[in-house]
Amino acid sequence: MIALYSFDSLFEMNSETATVQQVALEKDNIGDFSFPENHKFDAGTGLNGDTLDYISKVKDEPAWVNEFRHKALAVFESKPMPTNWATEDLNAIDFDKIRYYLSDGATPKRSWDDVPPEVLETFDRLGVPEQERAFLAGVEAQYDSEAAYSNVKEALAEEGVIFVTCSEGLKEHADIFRPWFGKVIPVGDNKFSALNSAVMSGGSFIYIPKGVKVKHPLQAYFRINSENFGQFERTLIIADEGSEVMYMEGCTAPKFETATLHSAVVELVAMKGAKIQYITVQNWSSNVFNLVTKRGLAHEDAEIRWIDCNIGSRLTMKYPGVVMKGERARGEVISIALANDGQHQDTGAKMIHAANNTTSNVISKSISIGAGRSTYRGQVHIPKHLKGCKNNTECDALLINPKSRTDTYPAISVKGNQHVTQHEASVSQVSKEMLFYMQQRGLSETQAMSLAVNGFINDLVEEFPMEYSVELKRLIDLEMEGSVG
Amino acid sequence: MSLTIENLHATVGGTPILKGLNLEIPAGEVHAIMGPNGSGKSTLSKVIAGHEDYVVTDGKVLLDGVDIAELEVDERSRAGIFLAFQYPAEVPGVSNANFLRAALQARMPDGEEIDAVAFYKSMYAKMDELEMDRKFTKRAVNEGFSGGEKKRNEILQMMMLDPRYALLDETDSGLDIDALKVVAKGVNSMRSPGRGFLIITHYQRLLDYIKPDAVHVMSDGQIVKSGGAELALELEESGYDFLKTA
Amino acid sequence: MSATLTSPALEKFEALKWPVRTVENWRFGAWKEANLSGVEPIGYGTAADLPAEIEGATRFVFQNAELVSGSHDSVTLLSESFGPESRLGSPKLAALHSVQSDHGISITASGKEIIEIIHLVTGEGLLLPSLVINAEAGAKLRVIQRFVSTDDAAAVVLTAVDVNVGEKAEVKYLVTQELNRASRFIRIADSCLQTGASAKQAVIHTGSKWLREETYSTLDGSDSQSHILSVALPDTGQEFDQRTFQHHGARDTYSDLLFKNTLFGKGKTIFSGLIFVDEGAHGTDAYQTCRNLMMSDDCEAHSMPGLEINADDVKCSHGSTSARVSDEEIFYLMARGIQPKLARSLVAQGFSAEAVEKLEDGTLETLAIEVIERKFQAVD
Repeated sequence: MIALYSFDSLFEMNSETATVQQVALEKDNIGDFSFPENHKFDAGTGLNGDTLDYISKVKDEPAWVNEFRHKALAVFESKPMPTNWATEDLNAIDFDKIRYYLSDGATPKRSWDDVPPEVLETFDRLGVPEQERAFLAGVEAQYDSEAAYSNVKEALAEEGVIFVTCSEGLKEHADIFRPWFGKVIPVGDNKFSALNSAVMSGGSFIYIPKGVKVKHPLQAYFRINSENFGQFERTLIIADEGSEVMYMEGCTAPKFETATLHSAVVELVAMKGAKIQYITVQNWSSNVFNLVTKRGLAHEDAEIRWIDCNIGSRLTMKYPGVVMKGERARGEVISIALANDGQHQDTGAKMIHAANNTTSNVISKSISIGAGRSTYRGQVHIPKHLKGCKNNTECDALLINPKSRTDTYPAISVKGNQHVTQHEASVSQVSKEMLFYMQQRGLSETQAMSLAVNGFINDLVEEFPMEYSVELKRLIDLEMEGSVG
Repeated sequence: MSLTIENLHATVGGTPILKGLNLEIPAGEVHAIMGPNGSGKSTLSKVIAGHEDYVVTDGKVLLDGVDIAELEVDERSRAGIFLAFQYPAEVPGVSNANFLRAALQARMPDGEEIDAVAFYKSMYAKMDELEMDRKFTKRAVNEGFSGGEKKRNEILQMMMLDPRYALLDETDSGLDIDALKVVAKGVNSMRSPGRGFLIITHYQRLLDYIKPDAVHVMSDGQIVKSGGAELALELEESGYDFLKTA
Repeated sequence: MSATLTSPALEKFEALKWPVRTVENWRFGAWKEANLSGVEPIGYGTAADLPAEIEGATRFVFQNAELVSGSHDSVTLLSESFGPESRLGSPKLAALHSVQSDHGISITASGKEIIEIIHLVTGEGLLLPSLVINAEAGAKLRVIQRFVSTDDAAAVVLTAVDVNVGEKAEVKYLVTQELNRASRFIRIADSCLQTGASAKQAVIHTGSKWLREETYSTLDGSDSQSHILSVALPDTGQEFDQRTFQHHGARDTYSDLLFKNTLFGKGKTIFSGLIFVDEGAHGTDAYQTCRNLMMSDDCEAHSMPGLEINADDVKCSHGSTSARVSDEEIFYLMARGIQPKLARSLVAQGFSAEAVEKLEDGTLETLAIEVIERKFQAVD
């Protein structure tokens, strides 16, 4: 899935030229394949206290984790679906029909040779092992409920970098993770963070020691193989003072008839002067409900950047946020969303300023094709008695077809005269005159549209690491096909 | 071989603009069209290029004998028609280099790819001829370009795309004398027996540098007078008043 | 109290609930202030000094619910509500108006007219004026509506207005609100534009302790244009809550909303605006801008600009900013010998003026600026 692309730097070509190449011949979602289910551990269908105990038992969890799960379940059951502001499509999720835990056991392999054949083949087809060999610092590959593979390069391990699964993190490194676990996103934050807290399984726990700057990205790959399944990974990344890390996440699933649920929780903690970049390319198949809570806590002089691309899923609801707790902290959300027929991308950003001289920046670009719908929801909060905070938000929506839809709902609250905020949003379509110009140069209408759309998101695509930006453009071109004429 | 326009009638928004226009541009020749504002000069170029807002109600356009009525805008382009726009569109986020590569790639047979090295060599050579700074290759198409820079960019594209018939729609408007000379140099370097040019202009100044083989006067949707290069000088001196009595 | 409408209106009122915190349309808003249960109807009004007459205008003066002067061929008196609808979160308030409103005027104009209405508010209690503006095809109508308190008593003014602009008609409508600092002001405004119509509506808010304004504008006919303008100047103890809806229901329509808030002391503003483009309303051009000028370290501004776009051949944008007076501007004025406080005030007045200038009408602009200046003088 993620192809290597070599650059001809002598002639200053850049990765954009990949868009010019023939659109991939395969029309289907590259991830649309699956293997027969063969799980050693299966918690059955539906959710109750017994499900939680089953999960705890398989993972051999300490008592406090099991208690945490039970409290979370109670919170989940007490909260209503947030359909007073969110889409009513949420009501299509039937919690009783979902299977909450399927795995072969909780211990991931450290070598691809030990991974079961169909799991290996799955990730091979998606290009994951090859990537790891080539340029990643560490990889975790999750297959349904557990990581099948998790490894961090020796050099990093020697420096004290920890990159393990959520279960391992809570058991073997409780001293590091427990203090922050559930603090950035409390159980009761929303219905889905509560659900995740109850049935969480899989996801990465990462700790970067003081001053360590991880040069190559750490990567996680999430794969759903089973039907009627819910994936609930939980990630916690702690970057200690002065450290730096880039984490990349990719997700796919085969196209099933029934709805699947992906409800993740990601907590980031950037200590003084640390920097965390979290990159996601989401390409779930069109039956997945993707409801994710992501938030980072930035201390003094720290920086957290969310770089998010949403192309797949039936419904994505995701509002990456940063709480700027220390002076001069910086939060940024860079988001690209593409909504095609039957899709609703409901994304945005939450910037909470809690210290002086903090800065937040949100750039969101969305493309609606066919009858797709893209929605931006934003929140910027600057309370009283702070000084020198700045926010800049820009959201642009591009509508491709007559039935394409877009909405924007930001909320900006500022107290006092010591701050500057600016929010701008626009909606437009690809201009006819621009299309005529490109066609007059020999590009077909489809090619012209594709080029125009790539041009629209070009600035943001360049924020993604090179490997992802090429793949991203290829995915967008695939989506654009058939949207014209 | 020629670009032939026979009895062309065309409307835009229901209003007739071309009212029976006849014109033949043989390959190897440069023809100029002049005329007062509102005569339909720009409309003619858009109709030949195939803009969907313009409806042909009668007559035809023949490219080397082939009626192009059924061809789409991009098909006409690949068949050899190039239009240098009076107001070139901006294409944000798409660099000039990538745009040209895409346009050239669209002309390659299935499965074949542009040779990157040759492409860049060719593009830089032409940019040097047109005195264009090489950094323009990385800038988004026409975005933030001055009028002169846009027009030069049109000529660069024309030189790269190697058309059979090039229509230059008021390419000289907004250019100072130096830019005009450079543009003319580019056009003249492309004059060849296999290629025809139609230069639409309001002022005769450009024709000092690109000597036309024929000059036509357009008025109210038709060609009303044709002559040699001297006709342009006459118009410059006496204006278009004669049309009122013609 | 006037004769009530038929009981369905009263039943409807009783079945509805007062606003609560969890309703989206009341986000950040003081929903408790909107609970009017127990508020008695207002008593009789009194006279007061009136502002200078406007040339060419016919003046109507209300002392509370009583019309004491004014008559015009195009105007009929209202003794009951026209039945407003609230689509922005206050159905119970709209229903209350339907049941209890007992005074107001209805203007039906086909030519060129200027009508001025002054509401003098006296005493405690609930006052419910109505205004209907019908501009028939080709009319050019200017309407000025002013709300002024004659004393310091805590009144509640719940006013509703229905504006209908016919084919190619033009309406310019200015509202100035200068109630005392104990009173509450609620305004439900609905306008509908037909083919080729144009409406410019401006509100200047300097008074009241709390106001809630819901402005719903529908472009029903193609080629119509709607300008919605507001200047709000809240000070300590004042909270201004304005919610708007620009509804594009036809092709080739244009709307432009410009709200300028200047916040002093502990003043608070809430702005929520939605541009809604119907399926098929192609060629829509819609803009929405909310700018907050923060004059003190204690003021609070909430902005929720919004877009819901269901047609693709459109150009829509919205923007919202908040900042203090720029240091460069202050420096420039100080360098010309103007003291900092006055400099700040001048810049802030210029800031408000931009919204007023969009009315493109000298008479209305002058009036609006007077009201704005009065507030600037009154602030500390």
